Amino acid sequence: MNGFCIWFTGLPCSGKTTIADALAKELTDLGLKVERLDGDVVRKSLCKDLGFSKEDRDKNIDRVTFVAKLLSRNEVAVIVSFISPYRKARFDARQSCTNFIEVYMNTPIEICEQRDVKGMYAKARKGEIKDFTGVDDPYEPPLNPEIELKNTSIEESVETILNYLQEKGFITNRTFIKNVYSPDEEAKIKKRLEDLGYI
Amino acid sequence: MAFYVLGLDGTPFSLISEYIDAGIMPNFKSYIDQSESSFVPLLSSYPPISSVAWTSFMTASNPAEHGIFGFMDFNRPSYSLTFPNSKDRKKKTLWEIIAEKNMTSAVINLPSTYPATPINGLMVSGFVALELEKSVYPLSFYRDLKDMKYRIDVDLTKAKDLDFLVKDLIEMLEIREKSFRLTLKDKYDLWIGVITETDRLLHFMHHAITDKSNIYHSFVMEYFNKIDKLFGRLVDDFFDENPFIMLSDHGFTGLKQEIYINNWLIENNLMVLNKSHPASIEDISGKSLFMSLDPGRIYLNKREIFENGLEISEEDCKKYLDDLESKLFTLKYNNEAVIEKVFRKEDIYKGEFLDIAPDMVILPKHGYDLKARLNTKEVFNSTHITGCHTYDNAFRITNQLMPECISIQNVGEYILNFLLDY
Repeated sequence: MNGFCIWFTGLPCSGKTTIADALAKELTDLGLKVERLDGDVVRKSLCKDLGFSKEDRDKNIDRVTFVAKLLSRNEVAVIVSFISPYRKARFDARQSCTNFIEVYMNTPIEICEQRDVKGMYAKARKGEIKDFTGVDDPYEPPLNPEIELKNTSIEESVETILNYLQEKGFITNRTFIKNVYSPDEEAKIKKRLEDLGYI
Repeated sequence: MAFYVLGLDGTPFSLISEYIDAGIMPNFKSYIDQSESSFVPLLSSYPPISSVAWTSFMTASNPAEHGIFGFMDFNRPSYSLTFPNSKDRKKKTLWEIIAEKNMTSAVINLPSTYPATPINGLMVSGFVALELEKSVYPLSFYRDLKDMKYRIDVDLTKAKDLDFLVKDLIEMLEIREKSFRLTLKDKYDLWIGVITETDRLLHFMHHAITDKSNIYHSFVMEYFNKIDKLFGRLVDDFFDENPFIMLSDHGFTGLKQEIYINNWLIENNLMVLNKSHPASIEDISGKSLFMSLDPGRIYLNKREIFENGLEISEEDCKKYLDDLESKLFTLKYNNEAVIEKVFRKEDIYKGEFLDIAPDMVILPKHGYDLKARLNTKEVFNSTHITGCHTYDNAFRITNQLMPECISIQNVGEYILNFLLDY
């Protein structure tokens, strides 16, 4: 299998993590080697020394790009979800990663604000948070993303991406999604049920 | 506020009552003794088996609505067998419904949730989960579980060795507590954690409960004492005075005999096999009138459901079922009648999947377990398994006022209404 890197970009609370997690689940069920790189998680580990200035944001994406490059060239399905607001940084990621697929979460900012349970947008508007993307720091939308999701449901969004991956030959046997058990797995389940005296 | 649900798979009301009276479960007692708490028996599902009962709970609906009737089902219109999984569930779960109101859930080791499906929160699937990686959502939580050496279940392949099982049950309870604590650190609107080791213990060691001379007699008491202590710690550290329900999905009783109902159907010329040494029910002949799946599910072999089935008019269906019911009540072991109740599907199910429901569900008397197995010619037999499920005698303990909740499905309905109204 060829590795690839699905790069979710969009405003805060646009649904990147939710869709990326759901997609990761489906790809795992298909038997792919999957790795998730999520903004919130990476900022607590690999990039915990970085802030939100433009320089630090670029460094953040730079490091994540490096990891995604290593993984994607080693046949891993890498799913990255970062605001990644600047085109230049995303362009650099595209150049580095194997089979880069940009997914633009084109969710209207009003909906992002409604979903914002932590109230970050409100704090940014009051000036309590500085350099907040979409409020006092720019978000540069992709000019030509492979996939653009305009506030579609989780299921529809995942389906759109899976269809794209199938069309491009990155996944081949999607019927497996519905028929989740292989003959070997069925035999294992049968054995467990027998061991418990259920069948 | 969070709503906490703790499941003790298969734990009977009567056993908890006995152990509370004996001073083995003091934390249960002190929780129940609080003025607003209640401890009452609960009814399971038809049939009383975890896949059906927990799915009725998680979807707050009956099997003809959620479409799960057992751990195994026919892959209609053929007689081949299939193992229903979480993607076969036809009804939304509690966590899917409350997610529409932006509420979050953590669901840990709930049976019949494999493979894990996307959730607004966290999911670790329970029995019959196979691979941990496919049991976890989101995938980022997989590493946390690997780091704590999480396991899905006891090693059932070695459970016949009761010394091994004792050690494994203790180890698994420690794993359960670790995984619960890991997920309870974060706040969710709904948290569901299930301990399935109780069911395993009762299947393999039920005989040790009453037999004081049995070498595992004190272990069973010690194990429930461990569960009591675990409960006490979770109440102190997390549950506190939040809305809380602890429940089991079915009751348990000592097993006298297994009844191989398909063999009985064959003896009564109601079922025919294509092979003299059948591997499974899949080797059934189209000439059969009835066939059975575990536990106590009876299907009429009708052409409208099974492609090789018999053409049977509606009038004849009723007559055949009436005749079968009469015959079943004559089934005896050592002169003791073994059938308690027989239900037609219309009596117990209601929903758009009624057509794939078993035509009849049999509840045996306590101590008898109806099996569909065909690896012997006998009708009655016994194995190393010493405990079996019951429809009655499950339990619930809660700090909620919910007197109308008499079945596991009702508990699901209560939680859903509570969270949607909150």
